Amino acid sequence: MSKLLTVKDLTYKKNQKTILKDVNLNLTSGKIVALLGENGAGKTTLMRIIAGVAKNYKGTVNLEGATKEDERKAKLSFTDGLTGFSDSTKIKEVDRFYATIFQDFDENEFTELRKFMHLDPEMKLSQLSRGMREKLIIALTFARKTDLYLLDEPFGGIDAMARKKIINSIILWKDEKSTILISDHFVNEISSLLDEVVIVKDHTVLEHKSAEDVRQNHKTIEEYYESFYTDEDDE
Amino acid sequence: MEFKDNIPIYFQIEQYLYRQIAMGKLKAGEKIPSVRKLALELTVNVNTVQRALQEMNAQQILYTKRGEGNFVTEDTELLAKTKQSLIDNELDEFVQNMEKLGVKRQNLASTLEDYLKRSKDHE
Amino acid sequence: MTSFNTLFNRMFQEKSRTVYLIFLIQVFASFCFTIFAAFSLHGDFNVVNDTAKEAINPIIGSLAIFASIVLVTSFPANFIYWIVSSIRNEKINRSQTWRLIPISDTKFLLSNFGTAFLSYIWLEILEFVIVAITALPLFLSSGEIKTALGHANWKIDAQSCWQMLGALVLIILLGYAWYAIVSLLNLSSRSIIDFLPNGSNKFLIFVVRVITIVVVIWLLGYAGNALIGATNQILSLNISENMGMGPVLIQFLVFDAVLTLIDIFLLNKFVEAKQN
Repeated sequence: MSKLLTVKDLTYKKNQKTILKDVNLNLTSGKIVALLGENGAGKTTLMRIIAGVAKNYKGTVNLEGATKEDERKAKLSFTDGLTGFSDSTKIKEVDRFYATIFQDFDENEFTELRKFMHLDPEMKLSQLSRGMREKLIIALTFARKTDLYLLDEPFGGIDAMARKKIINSIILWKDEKSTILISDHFVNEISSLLDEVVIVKDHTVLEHKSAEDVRQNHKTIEEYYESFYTDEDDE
Repeated sequence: MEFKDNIPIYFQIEQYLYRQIAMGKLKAGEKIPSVRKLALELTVNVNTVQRALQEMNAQQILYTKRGEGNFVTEDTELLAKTKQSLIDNELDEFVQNMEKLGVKRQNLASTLEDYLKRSKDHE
Repeated sequence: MTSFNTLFNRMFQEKSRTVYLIFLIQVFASFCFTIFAAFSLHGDFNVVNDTAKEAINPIIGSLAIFASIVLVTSFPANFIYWIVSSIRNEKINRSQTWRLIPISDTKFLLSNFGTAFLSYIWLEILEFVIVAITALPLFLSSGEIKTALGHANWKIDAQSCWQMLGALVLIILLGYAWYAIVSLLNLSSRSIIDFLPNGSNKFLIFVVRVITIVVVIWLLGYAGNALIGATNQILSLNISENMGMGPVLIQFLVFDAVLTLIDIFLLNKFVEAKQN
């Protein structure tokens, strides 16, 4: 397992509030990793910093030797809410944007993914339901050939069928070398898929364990995750 | 498929495939579904399926044809043995549960016989 | 990594859509005005060329009216373009979709300014072409205008040629300065808002924006004066009449460069993409 991502002593403040403090995280290649934590725990911010779109942090982020933001952006694929496009933009136009802008964007693969997700290229962004929009975002993210994929809450607020499609696309399109980091605030649907679990709480990475270790302690990943939060009630 | 908590998933996949073979859903010499298909079916990581298949290859329940995939062994003796160990496992559990309920070992056979007779009457 | 050219082309493509939209509205409005004017003239089109002895063909006359209306409406149209494109620039600066593109912040910002300005030139070209095409029939049909053009002195000396070139460069530098200043206002106030506690408070954001505008304008005035003083001093040793616009151009060049450097610094260190 080769080293992929190293986050070292990362601290990030915004509006004088600490969002992340002393975060350390190491990921190796070829894994499916869950980034678990409550809403507002700092999962999205951590992903944004790794992806190079959040600024003014302390600490280092090293993705296969790339520490500069623009170099990192070339080596990872991050789910984007597509807010840079107007609502009248068609799926095929978004496809063209990605194909021209990202050298590693594989159009054939996008077409396959798009068909798998049952998305019509003529549809406008405004016509998409939340589940369809999320499926499009996943298809665009996976059509880039990178070593690290950051999926920020891909299952939030969408129906069961769309969730199933997204989970299946992860199984089908993940190649052996690449690592997928999936943030979520609940885990049961993807728990059988995971290699590792990262718990984010109190503005930092509290624990990072392999899924197998969690299971060997006679716990489901769900119970393990929830244990970090029930402790709080006892205090 | 629902996975149990405290057992590694790759091991549970093995068990799942053993059952498929024992029940005759996968026959001797037959090609088993591809790694990706199995991963999709069971909602697990491709790596995990691969690991399970590796273990089964090591136990010679499966054999790999290059470029074609994995096949169930044609060694009927080994298959029978595998089936027997599955049955043994189930019986083990049954015996243990009965003992917990206070049914003594020497009475097990008669208890079971009695049960089978009663459930037959109900049909 | 995405190359500068790729990003530049893509941004230009996006921004030229704004140009086409504004241009279409302008042409449509001019067309409506022309019809209105043609009716109110009751077929007498000699207003477009009152030296003409014979009556002017209604189609040629209407086209000439159309050309002059496009010319007049180009002022508000261009003004609207400047405002719309500035807002678009600042949206792109904070859009996660755009900021995820693997390219350095320097190239990103230069591409953003450059494409906004190039799209402006594109709007001007479209306006020029349509005015030229629609005005041409009148020029060709009228003997008086032809002779007047024939008598005109078309000889241009080197001096005025340099002056025209200088004016063109000055316009480019000024246009660029506009975008750089708008970005400076947005990026600096955004950096401050992200730093202050309670940054999502609408009133606080408003106050910070206003204060930033006042302070930046005061600073720009001050820096501009200092810059003029400094360049005059440096150039005073060999200043001569021949230099014409030279000093002014250098002053604006330095001014633009300094603004760009500050903008790049802010974008690179502090201003992050909006969360979506």
